[in-house]
Amino acid sequence: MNKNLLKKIYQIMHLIRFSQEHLINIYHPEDKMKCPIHFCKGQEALASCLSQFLVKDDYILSHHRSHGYYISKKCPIDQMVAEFYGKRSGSNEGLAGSQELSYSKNNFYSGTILSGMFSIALGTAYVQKIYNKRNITYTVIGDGGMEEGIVYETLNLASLKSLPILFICENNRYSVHTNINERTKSSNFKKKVESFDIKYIKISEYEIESIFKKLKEAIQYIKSNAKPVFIEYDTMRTCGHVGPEDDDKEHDYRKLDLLKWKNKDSFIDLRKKLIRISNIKSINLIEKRNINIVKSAVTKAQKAKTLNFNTSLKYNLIKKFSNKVKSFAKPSIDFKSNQKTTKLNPY
Amino acid sequence: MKRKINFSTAIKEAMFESMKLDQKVIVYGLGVGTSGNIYGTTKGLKEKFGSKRVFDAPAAESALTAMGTGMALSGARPLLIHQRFDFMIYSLDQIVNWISLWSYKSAGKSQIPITIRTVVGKGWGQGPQHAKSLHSWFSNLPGVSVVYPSSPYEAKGLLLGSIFSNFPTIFFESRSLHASVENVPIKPYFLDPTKSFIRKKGKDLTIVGFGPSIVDALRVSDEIEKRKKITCEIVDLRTINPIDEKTIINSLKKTKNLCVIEHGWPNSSVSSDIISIVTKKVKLKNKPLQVCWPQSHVPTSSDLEDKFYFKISEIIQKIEKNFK
Repeated sequence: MNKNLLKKIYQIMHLIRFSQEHLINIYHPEDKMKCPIHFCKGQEALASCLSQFLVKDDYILSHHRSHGYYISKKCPIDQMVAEFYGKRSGSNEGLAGSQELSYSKNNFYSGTILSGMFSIALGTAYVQKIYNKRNITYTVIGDGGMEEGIVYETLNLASLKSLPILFICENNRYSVHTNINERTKSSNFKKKVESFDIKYIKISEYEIESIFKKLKEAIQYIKSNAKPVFIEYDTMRTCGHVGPEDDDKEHDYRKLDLLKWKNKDSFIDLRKKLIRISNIKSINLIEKRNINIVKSAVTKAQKAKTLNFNTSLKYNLIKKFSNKVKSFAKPSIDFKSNQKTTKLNPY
Repeated sequence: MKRKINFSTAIKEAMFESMKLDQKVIVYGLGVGTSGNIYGTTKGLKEKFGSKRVFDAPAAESALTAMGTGMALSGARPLLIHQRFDFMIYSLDQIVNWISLWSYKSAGKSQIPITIRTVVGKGWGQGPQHAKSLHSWFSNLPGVSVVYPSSPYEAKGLLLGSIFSNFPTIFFESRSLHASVENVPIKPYFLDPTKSFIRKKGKDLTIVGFGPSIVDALRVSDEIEKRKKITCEIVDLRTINPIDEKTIINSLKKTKNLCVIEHGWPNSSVSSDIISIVTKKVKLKNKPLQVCWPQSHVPTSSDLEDKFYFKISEIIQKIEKNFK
C-alpha cells in the first residue's frame, strides 16, 4: 500500500483514537457529558479503512459504538462532541446523545437498540438499487446484536432482493460483559450467513494492509455482483463497555482476551510502520492537527447553549406534507346509517 | 365527478393514484400481489407499476418495517400492508424504538414518511388471534400519526393524505367497513390526517367515534332522534394520534353531553382518554358514557362472538338511561 494512503487512514484512525481517549479522560472529573457513551477504543481499524471508500451518497447505519464510523463518514467533530454535552450545536441538538448519534447531511445514522440499524439498511439499499444509484449501504453490528431474530429476517431479505449492503459484524466477543461462549453453541457466523446464500469474508488480521485489502474485495464484490456481503471482523475494545470507567477492573471478565490483544493493536502497528516508512515529523503534524480539532470541539461544546425545551417538543411530529398536496378536501357526509357491513368468509 | 364505490375500492384507488402521482411510492407486504390481494385492495397494482414498486414479501414483519424505515429515510414513500393487525405486533420494536422517535432524536432534520396499513378483523370466528384492535397503544406514542377512517370517502382521502405526509402514519382499517358504500370523487384528493370533523350536526348529545363506530353512531343517532326530541352531533375523530381536542371540546361546549363509542377494550383506551380530556375542560350535564368491548379477548364461537360485540339497541338503552 502506498505511503499516502496509509497516512490518510492514519489521520482518521488517530482522530478516532485520540477523541476517544481525550473524552474518556475528561468525562468524569468534569461530569458535563451526562449521557451513556460507548467508546470505541481498540475497534478503530475497520472504520478507518472504510473512510477511503465512502462517498456522500453511501449510507452508514451503525450500532451504538458508532464514533469511528461517524468520523469515517467525515461528519464534524464539533457537532459530535457538542451532542455528548447535550447542546443545541450538537448534530442532534442534544436530543440523541452518543447512543443515537446521526448526521443526516452525510447519510450517517446510528442507534442503540440492538440490530435495528442492521435491518433498516434493507430499505436504504432497496432504494439505491431500484432507482439505479450506484451506492452502497454499510451497516455495522456487534456479535451481541447477531443474536436478535430480526437479523435473520434481514439476511433473508437482503439475499432475496440482491441488495447492495455491506454487513459489518464487529465481533469483540462480549455482549456487555457476557462472553459469546456463554450465549450460544453456534458462534459460527460463516455457516449462518452462507445459509442465506450471502458471501462471507472473515477479517482476523489486525494489520491495516490486510484489513484494507479484504474490505476492498468486499466492496468490489458488491459493485460487480449487485449482491450483499457479510464481513466478520475480529476485534477487541480496549475500554469499558459504556462510560469512561475501565470495567475490567471491577468485573475482571476478559483478562486473557486483553492480554492476547495487547500485541494486536492496529493503531500502534500502523503508527510504527508509518514512522519507519515515512518520518516522525509528518506523523506528529497529523496528530497535532487532530488534537487541536478535538480540544477545540470540547471548548466550543462547553460554552454552547442548550436547546429551548418547547422547541424540542415540536420535533416529535412535524406536520408537513409532500408538495403534491396543494390543499385539503372538505369532509363528505354522504355516508348514512343504512350502511351494509362486510360479511366475512371463513378464511 | 363522484360515483358510489365501496371502502376497499376506495383504498385501491388511493394506492393507484398515489403511485401515479409519485414514482417514489412503494407498496409491499405479505399477500400483496398474490391471488388474495389484501381483500382485493391491491389487485392490478403490480401489473400496472411493476414488481420493483409493488412486491410480495416473506413473513418477516419486523424486518419489513425496518426496510420501510430505510426506504423512507432515503426519500421514498413506502406503504407497508398487514393483512391482519395481529401480525403487526411483531414489528413493535421498529415502530416504537425506531420510527416513532426518528424525527425527535434528529431534531427534525430527518423524517420517516412511512404509511402502515393494518386491517382489523371482525366476525366469523376471527377470535382472539385475528380480531384484536390495539389502536390505543399507538395513540399513547409520540411521533406517529394514527388514522382510522370511517367511510369510503374518508378512506381514499386519508390514505392519500397519509402517504403524502412527511411523518409516519399507522392506518387502521376495520374489515367490517370494507363493503360500505359512499359517493367518492374519481380524482385524487387529500384529507388532513391530523384533524377531526363534525360528521353530523346536533345540539343535545355529542357522540364521539372513529372507524367502525361511526356507523354505530349514525344508527344510534337516527334511532334516538326518532324517539326523542333531541338531536345528536357526531364527531368523527379520523385521527387518534394526535387527538384533535379543539373539535371535540367545541362540540361539547354546545351539547354538554358526551357518549364515546369505541371498537376496542375500555382500559387505557382512546375513549377513556376522550372522557378525561372533555371532563377536565367542560362541565357536563350528565356523566359521560363509554361504550366499548368487554375487557376480555374476542371469542371464536359465533354465539359468544354475537354477545361480545355491542349492538345498536344496547347503546340506545345505555344512552336513554344515562341522559334523562
